[in-house]
Amino acid sequence: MWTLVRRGILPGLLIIVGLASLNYGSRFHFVPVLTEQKTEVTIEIPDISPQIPPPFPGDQQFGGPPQIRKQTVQKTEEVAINISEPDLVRDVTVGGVVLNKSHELKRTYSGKAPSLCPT
Amino acid sequence: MAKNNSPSVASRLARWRWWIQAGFLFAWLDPFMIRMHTVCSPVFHCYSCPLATFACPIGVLANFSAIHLIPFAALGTLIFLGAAFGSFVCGWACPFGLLQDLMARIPTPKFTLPAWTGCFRYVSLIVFVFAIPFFLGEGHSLFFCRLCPAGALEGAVPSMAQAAIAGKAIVWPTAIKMVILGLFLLAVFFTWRPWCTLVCPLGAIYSLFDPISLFFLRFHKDRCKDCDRCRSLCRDRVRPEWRVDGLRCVRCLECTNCNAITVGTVFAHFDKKIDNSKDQNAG
Repeated sequence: MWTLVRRGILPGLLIIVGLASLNYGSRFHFVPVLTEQKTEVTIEIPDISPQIPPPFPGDQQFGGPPQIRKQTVQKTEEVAINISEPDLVRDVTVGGVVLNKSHELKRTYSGKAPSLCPT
Repeated sequence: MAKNNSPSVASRLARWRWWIQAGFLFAWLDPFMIRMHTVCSPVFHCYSCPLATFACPIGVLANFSAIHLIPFAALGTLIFLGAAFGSFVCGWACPFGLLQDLMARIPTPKFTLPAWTGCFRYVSLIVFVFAIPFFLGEGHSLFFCRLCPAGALEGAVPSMAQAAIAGKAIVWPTAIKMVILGLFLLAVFFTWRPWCTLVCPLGAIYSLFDPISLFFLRFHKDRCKDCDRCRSLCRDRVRPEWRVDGLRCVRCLECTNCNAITVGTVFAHFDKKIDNSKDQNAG
C-alpha cells in the first residue's frame, strides 16, 4: 500500500501540480514592469521678446497681450506595463529587467533588447 | 522459479542511450534557428549558446530569485518531469551530461568520488541559485550564471569566437568563470560526470524526486547472487542495492544488465505478485 502511495498517487499528484503550474505561468501570470516611455507634450510659451517701439508718435504702441508660442517637447516617464512570464523569462536572462530600490521591476533598456547575457 | 536469462527491456534500452541522448540534442541545439527563449527547457544548457533553442531552468530560477518572483512555468516543468522520470532526464536527455559522457570515453585513469560529495549539489542549489541572487542580486560575482561552466563553454566561448571572426571586440568572461571551466575540463577526464556528481543544481532537484518518481529502478533481492557485477557495471561504482535511486544516480541503466535490477512502475509491483502466485500454483 505504501508503495502504491509513494510510486503511484504521490507522483500522480505532483504531475498534476506541475502541469497546473506550467499552465498558469505560461498563460495567466503577468507582472508589472516599469518601462521608460517617451511621449510628446505640447506646451505653450508666452513670447516675451522685446517689443519694437512704433516709428511715429500716435501709432498704437502696445497692441495687446503677448503672443503665445506652442512648442512640442519629448518627455520621458516610467509607465508600468504588464508582462507575461514567458516574456519575462527572455528579458531577465539578458539582464533586461532588474529590481529597483522600491522593490519594483524595472526594464533596463528602451527600444531593442540586449542580445548578450550580462554574465 | 525458472531463471530468466534473456536481457531485460531496460538493459536493451541502455544500449541505445547514446542515440537517445543525441536525438535530444536536436531539440536543445536547433540547427534550424528556431528560438524559443521564452520557454524553459528541462535540461542544463545555457541559453547563451548560439544554437540554444530554450532557456536554461537554472538560469531562470536564479534570475527570478534575484527579482523576487516565482517562475511558475519553470517550476511546473521541473515538477512534472521530476515526478514522472526523476533523474532519467540527467542520464538520457541532458546535453551537458552527454558532453561529459563523451569526454569520459577518452582512456584515462578514472577515480571514484566519495558518495558524500554529492551533497555539494544541494549547497550549490541553495546558496548560488537561490540565496545569493535573492539577497545580493543578479550583479553579485557569486551569482550562479557568473560561475557556470556550461555558460562558459556553450555561451562565452562561441561568442568570443564569433566576435573574433567578425573582427569585433572580444568580451571575456570573468576570471573565476574561466578557472571553474578549466577545473571542470580537467576533472572530466579523470572521473565520470564530475559536474553531475559534484555541483549540478538541476541534478540535485531531479534527484529529490527519485524516491517518489513514477518510473524507478527496482532491486530484486531474490535474484541477487551477490556477485558484485552491478557495482562493476555502475560507472559511479556504487552498490545498487544500497544506492538504487540514490541521490547521485543518473539512471543510465547500465546496472540493468544484471537481472536483479529492473526499471519499473508501481504497476510492475503487482505483476511481480501475480508471477509469484502463478509459481506457487504451479508448485
